[in-house]
Amino acid sequence: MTAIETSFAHVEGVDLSGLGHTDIDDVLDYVHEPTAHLPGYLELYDRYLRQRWNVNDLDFSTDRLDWTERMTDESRNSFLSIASGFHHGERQVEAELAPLFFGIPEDYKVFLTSHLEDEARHTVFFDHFYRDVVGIDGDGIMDILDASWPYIQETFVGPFGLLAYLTDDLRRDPYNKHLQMKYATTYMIWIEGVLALSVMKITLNYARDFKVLPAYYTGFTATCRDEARHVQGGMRFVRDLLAEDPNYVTDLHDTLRVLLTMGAARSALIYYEPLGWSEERVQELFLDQLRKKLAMVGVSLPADMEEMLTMVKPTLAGG
Amino acid sequence: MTTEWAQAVRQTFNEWPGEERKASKLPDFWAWIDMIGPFVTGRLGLSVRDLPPGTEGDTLVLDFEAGVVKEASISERSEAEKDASFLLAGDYSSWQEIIDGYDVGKAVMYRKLMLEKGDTLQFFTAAFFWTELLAAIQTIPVEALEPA
Repeated sequence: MTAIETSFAHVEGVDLSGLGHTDIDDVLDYVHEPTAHLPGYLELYDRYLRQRWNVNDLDFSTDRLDWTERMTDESRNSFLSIASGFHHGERQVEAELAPLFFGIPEDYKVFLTSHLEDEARHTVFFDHFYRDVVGIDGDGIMDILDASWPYIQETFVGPFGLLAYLTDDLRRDPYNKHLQMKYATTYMIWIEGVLALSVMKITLNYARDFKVLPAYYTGFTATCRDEARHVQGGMRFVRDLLAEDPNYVTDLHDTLRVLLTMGAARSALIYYEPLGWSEERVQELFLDQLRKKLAMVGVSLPADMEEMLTMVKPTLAGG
Repeated sequence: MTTEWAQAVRQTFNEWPGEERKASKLPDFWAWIDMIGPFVTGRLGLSVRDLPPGTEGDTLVLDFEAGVVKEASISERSEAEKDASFLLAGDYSSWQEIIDGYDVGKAVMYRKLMLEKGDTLQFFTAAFFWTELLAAIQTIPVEALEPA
């Protein structure tokens, strides 16, 4: 067994407490491992059954001490600017998934039930983090979401508003495969495959390198492993649609063109430096994630879109 | 909804953003708005689904030409919808919340406003142009109606 195979086998089988000592970069590599042979939906469902974790097993008491005593105001602000995009993103991808169920293959429907449950658990994970670590009080999920809203970038509404409205389109016409492709491009390629994996790397590299927020690191690394299944399932869905009719690539390109257009806007600066990053590195990370997803589905970009890539500003959110 | 209010929307948005609003965001953001504006041409309807009686119509009609509101009027939805490129609709209670300052990004994300006519991708190509329009509308005083 090679070193990479050993690493993937570890990520594949380790339990929740073991994930707390697993390098996030190995988990991110694991997302892209089966490029040539994307796993089947039932295989992904089987992985879910083995990899599922309990959000209530996490103890945030050390994280609370780190937050209040070890982290600086600057690092707390930068961290919240990034994590809040994920807090809302998780809620959005949970709430917007249901209409996809109607018009997809039966095996994918089975896997998608696990995907939906994952997203609900991730939403609760962030809810616990904001209550137990950041110290926000509230009666329900929405109270905490409302309290973290001021930290997110205004441009968040671009990809996530698009997802909400495409969800409505799909709800009205769930068997329309052009709509399915637009929806999957927004949800699985852009939000989960590009935005989410980038944000995970930034905040988890910070927690790893500065040795803070162990429960956040553990839960969010477990979240990342969950996302690996979602992305792989989504890429399989996109690839199968393209195999059925290569003309669906026009829907993928059209959707990506809109996402890149919106991605060229930003309303406020985020200071990455307290977390050990720079805007240039974050942009490189985005583009690398996008190219990897496109490679997984065998799609290239036309010249005009290649040029658009250079204008994209990081929107730090995910789901 | 009144003709007077529609004209106030036209004037306010054509002069948008004011200095204070402009200073609240990066120049990059306004550069993006300036880049998109020239492509925004056509009719937008903003409609209230259950508007109580006592107004001139249930839909604000805005005719854009290269990002500028050339005409603004009030109409019934059935009329406005015919020639609209896009129609956004929401319940009266949702519009009241928005007018009272509810975050316009949330209004889109949580579907307080829904795109009930028009191509979704085309609409989102100008996403932040539309959210700025809603933000401009929020600054115009209105009087609440008695529920029907």
